[in-house]
Amino acid sequence: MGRVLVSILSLLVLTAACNREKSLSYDELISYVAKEKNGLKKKRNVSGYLFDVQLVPHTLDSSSIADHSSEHYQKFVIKIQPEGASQRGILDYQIESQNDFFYRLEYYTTYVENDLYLVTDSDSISCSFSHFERYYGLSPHNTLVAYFEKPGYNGDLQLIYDDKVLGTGIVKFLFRADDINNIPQLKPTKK
Amino acid sequence: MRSYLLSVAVLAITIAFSMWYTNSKEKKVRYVDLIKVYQAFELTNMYEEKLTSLNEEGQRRMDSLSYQISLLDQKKSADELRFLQQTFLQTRHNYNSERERLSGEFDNAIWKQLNQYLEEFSKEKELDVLLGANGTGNVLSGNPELDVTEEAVEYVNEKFNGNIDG
Repeated sequence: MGRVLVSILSLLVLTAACNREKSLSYDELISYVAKEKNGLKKKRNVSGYLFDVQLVPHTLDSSSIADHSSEHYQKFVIKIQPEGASQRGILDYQIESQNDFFYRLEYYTTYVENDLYLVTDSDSISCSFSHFERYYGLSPHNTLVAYFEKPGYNGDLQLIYDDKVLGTGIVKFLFRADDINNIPQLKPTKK
Repeated sequence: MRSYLLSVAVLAITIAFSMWYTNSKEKKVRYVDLIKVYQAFELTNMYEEKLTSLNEEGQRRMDSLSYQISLLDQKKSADELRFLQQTFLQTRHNYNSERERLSGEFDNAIWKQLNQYLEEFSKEKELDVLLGANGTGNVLSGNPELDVTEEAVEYVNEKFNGNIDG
């Protein structure tokens, strides 16, 4: 009888240990989210451009926006790179004049947030804030950081970019609910 | 001398076999109805909705101007009438130009994505040739068994929605 009890207790402890939410150190979590197999990073090649979109969990984002902590927002880091080697970013790729360059620059620094949406099962959320990083031709890609108000929803999320300048058309990135809901916790650091 | 003859014979057999194998390997050729794929592509439908909405907006604005023109007393308000008629013509011109510009831009984006997705579809299905039947005579007739239009439509839409990674 005693042996049976011990076996059951051991099994329960083992099950609880297995089900315990994973927690990772800061560096481990960064490496976890950066792996495509974990579903938080999506890479797509669309119409001659490589899109690399990273969903950033709020535990890795210490910024605060308009007096709200990052917990209220869902952050995405979108890297866009023209296909092919030795490109200088998207601002001067396949442009016909200097006006095109300035048009793209103005678009990405000011208007692109009007063309970014986060779609949930029942709602479409506009981008709250975006930031375009210029590298002055030193990098083959450009980076766009976009924040959306966090949806009160635990299902799939679809990021939509309705491009107006590159000629790619609408590009969608799907983030599965399982991948979003299973992001490991950040292990508290000892001081 | 014997070993020399044997080597030549083995070489000849090898070459003959490889030629036979290369020729006998069946080339995988399929075709898609491009018009059907284009029409069933979700991006096409999204852009069509945008164009319809732009048309409706333009039509409302022009209807409103026409109504204002019809209310004017033509003798008393000649200047205003001329102004409204000019505004009407300008508005119609602007909407038509915008519609043409957007229509071209949308078509370009649709075909860029479709071409890419169909190429990827062809690779995934390990096809040697994927023909596009578009009603212009490229494929005059085809065995329905070789028609992969439905599969292609499903693939391009899954790809567009991000359900297939890469």
